[in-house]
Amino acid sequence: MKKSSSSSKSKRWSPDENPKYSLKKKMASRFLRSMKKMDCSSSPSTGEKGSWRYHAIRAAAYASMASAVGPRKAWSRALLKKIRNHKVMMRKSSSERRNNPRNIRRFGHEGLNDLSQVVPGGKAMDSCSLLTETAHYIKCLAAQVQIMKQILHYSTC
Amino acid sequence: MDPPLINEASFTAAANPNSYSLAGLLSFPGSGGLGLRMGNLGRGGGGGDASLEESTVTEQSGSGNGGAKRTRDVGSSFDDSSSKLVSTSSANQDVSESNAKRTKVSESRDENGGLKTEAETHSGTSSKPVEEKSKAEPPKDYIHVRARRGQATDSHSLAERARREKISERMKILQDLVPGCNKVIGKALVLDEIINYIQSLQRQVEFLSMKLEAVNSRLNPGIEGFPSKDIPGPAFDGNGMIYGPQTPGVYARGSQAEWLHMQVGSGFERST
Repeated sequence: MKKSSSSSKSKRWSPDENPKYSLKKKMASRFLRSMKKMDCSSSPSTGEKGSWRYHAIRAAAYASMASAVGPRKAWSRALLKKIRNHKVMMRKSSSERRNNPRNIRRFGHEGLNDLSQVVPGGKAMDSCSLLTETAHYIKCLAAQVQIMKQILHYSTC
Repeated sequence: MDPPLINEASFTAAANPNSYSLAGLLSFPGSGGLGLRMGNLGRGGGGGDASLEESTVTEQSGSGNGGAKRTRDVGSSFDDSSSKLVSTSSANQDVSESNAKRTKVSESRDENGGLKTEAETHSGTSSKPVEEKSKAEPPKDYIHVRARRGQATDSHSLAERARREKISERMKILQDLVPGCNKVIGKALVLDEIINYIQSLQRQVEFLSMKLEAVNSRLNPGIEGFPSKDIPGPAFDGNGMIYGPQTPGVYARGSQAEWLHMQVGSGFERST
């Protein structure tokens, strides 16, 4: 009973249940393509090659996830924007954004406030859509982790 | 009271219903054919163990015959006794039948109970999907849901209640999504669990990208390619369907990442 209810809920919920598979496929293909590009491209600074590659791979993972989902979800939009403007954001001092009093305790619940810090773009949502986006984000993150695990498995053995 | 005379005289005839009643009670508790079986079972069943009902029947017959009808001829007394005995035996029969009926009724009750329980289970199983169906369409409910007893009815509190229901529904969905979150009670704890899960997933992504970085740097020398600066970003083309039925020979001459690509694609197609 519970299973069926949860499955029906997730069906109603997920972007589209058939494309759940194709979404994962999209994520995997995008991630692999960006990895390939990364491999092919010469590293900009040879000195800090390792950390650059690590950051690039991480960014590629998030970007492939977000771009596969598309702009219809707020978290993917926020994530893409964040990745695109990463250098600009880094140049800005993050302390002034942190001290912005507008973002402090927007929600009644303390947990939702914390959740909005974790989910990308969560600061600009109301509580209901925040929970919706959180569920979708969790699904996509889990799929991405699975994809990366599989890639690692196939590349090591 | 001296019933022995009449009793002796009427015994052969009077014994029949008694014996029948005994035999009927013993062997045919459910058979309805009283008059037909009487002659057949006459003597054979009489010698059996006497039950309490039979003794009472004979006493009744004796008292009935001995009291007022002593002066009468044997035939009439015989008739009376036999009729009485028949009546009493039939009463016994009725009793036994009613007992059987009672047992039957009780059995049928039990059956009914079993059927009821089955019906209840059936109705329980059938009513749950109905409930789920009703759960599956809550957005309609918001329009129809009015305040229950003792709840505020102004539009603000109605909207607030609808919002709270919406939030709790989303929380339930999230609880189903996060493993091990179903047992946690309390909204704050559930939210903590969800945040922990998200953070663990993010950390997992970081860890896996670190590992992939290590693996890829190991594989890196074998890859020659075309430089492209924009690694992350949405600049990928829309149709990412590379998993067509292409021959592996194409991939065999391709780069390492393409090989990976193919492997992972086939893995996905196998796993899902």
